[in-house]
Amino acid sequence: MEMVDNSTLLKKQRTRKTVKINLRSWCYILPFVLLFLYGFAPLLYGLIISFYSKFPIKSTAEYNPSFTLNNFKALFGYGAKWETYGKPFWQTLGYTFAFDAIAVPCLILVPLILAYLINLEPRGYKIFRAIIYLPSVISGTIMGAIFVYLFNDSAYGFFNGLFRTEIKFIGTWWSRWGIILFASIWWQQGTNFLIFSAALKNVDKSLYEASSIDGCSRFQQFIKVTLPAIRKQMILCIFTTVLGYLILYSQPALIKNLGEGGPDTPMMIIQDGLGVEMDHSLGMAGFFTAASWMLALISIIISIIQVRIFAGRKGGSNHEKRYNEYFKIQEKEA
Amino acid sequence: MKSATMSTSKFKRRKLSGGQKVKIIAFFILLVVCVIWLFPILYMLLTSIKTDSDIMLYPGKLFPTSGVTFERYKTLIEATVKGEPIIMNDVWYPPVGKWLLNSLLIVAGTIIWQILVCTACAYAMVFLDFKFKKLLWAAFIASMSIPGIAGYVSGFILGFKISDIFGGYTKTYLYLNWIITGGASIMSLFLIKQFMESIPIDLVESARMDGCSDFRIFWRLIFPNLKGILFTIAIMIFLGTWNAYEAPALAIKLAGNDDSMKTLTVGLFDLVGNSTTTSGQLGLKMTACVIGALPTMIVYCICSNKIVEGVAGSGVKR
Repeated sequence: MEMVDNSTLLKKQRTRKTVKINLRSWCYILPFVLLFLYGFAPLLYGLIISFYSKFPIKSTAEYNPSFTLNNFKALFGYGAKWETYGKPFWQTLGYTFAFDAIAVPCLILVPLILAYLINLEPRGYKIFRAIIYLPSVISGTIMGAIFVYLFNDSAYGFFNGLFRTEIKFIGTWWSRWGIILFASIWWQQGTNFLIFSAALKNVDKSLYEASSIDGCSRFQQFIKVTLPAIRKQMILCIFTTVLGYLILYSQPALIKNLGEGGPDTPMMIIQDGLGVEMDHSLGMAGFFTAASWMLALISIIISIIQVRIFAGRKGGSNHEKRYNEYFKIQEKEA
Repeated sequence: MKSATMSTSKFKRRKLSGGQKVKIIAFFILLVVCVIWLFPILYMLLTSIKTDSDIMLYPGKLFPTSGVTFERYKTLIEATVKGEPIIMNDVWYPPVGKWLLNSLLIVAGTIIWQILVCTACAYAMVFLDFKFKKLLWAAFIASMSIPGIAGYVSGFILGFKISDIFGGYTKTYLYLNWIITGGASIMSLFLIKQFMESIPIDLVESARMDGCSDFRIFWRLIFPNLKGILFTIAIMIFLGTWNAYEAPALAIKLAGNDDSMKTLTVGLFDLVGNSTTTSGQLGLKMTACVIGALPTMIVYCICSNKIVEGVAGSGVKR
């Protein structure tokens, strides 16, 4: 009898304890979870806004929004706002894709080569490594200011002043994009560079020795040994760089700040458009939220495509697969 | 004997030479790259201390020819002390120091708040047991695939609407909003959780046996053990928050583009974006840029190891 009593008592205690622990642990995670959930509020709110026309940003403005599909129509080629708002959005998205097609490979290759060179550990490589990452800690504003005045069209531009030329570096579109490309590499290769150099450091040294005994040249080694060994980091860098450059803003915005012409990226349309909206209350808030949802959708699609592409090779090399299969068959037979 | 050692040394030298040649080539390539990399920063630094006549010089020169001047730095400090812009030689010197203080305030607040929130959550995730733990973790991971741009525009509008409850879109509201909502960083949670998992669970269990309360375990036992990773995270938050431009700029614009509200990065953008260029103004812009870049560069120089650790760690472990 006593035994039974004891066990029930223990059970009661235990349940009380688990409830207590549950409550206590929720105290620890509650701030994070609340803030995490708050992060979703704008997503839903944005969906609602994008279905209203003339949604006022400022609460002091007149509040008479009505349910429409005009914002989405403007985004897909119908309605009055297509020419002024929708068309530039897709146009600039095209520019961005074209730019990314060049910039992303550069932002993978340049850091990879630099990381490879650092990994050879030449004299003073620690200082070199520090200098290569240095531009990445500077803010985009400062990066823009420096490049605007290095390549300014006027005589105040450093290169124009130095060589007594009057080249329109920022005025012509292709050289402007060239400057944006160089600025992007200068400013943003740091993260990829550090990830690559950490990855290269962890590559098994015996693989190099084995391959050099087999008569591999350095280039062959790089392709056949190094690249497969850092595949995981490579995928990560490509993934984040592609998504990051879809919402390109700082570089073009700052560099063309002093130049002329329309916006160059969708993010600039959203950011600058909202700025105008704030001052003049044109009732375009719905359109910009729809546009930002559209951008998000595109980046989700791109990330799904990337995951698909990379997932296909997740199982390692063909040799490894066959080796494993062979092993399994042997195990079964045994 | 002698000849034998000589021959081995020769042999060694010959064997090394292949690798050494590559090393020398790598050294020179890196040297060139680093000169190019440092050049824009050097240009910024030198322009900020050039005299006006040097900047005006037509076949321009990189280095100052007629002495250096720190007049601009002095005037900017004076403007900060005075609390309002000073106009000198048709150049408008804004109170940059005020922006700097604003930035520091936000950075400090974000670091403290984010670390507290994320560490507490990670502690519960690792050492405590509760319902829906796995589900919650899955939700955190899944949320990383939602791009931030989706809620970018509506976030501002929502913030503006909520501000009515707290008495208007004021500086206090704006800053508190940034700091508090910046608390839940999945990346920081990830790194802290990973680090916590390396702490032996026996340590916690034995402390619990001795009747140590959960909070005491968290605050006295776990928290001090996290020093290394928290320092790294703090630096990463500092760099990210200090350099944030897009969202703060838009929020400040919503609030009426008030000068006293601006963070350094936002203020610098407006200063640099001012399209009238004179030699005095170019000097001022570069001086302001140096002031904006110095804090991050100094922090980088002191703690570059920690930054390397943080960035590389975030890449390797994901």
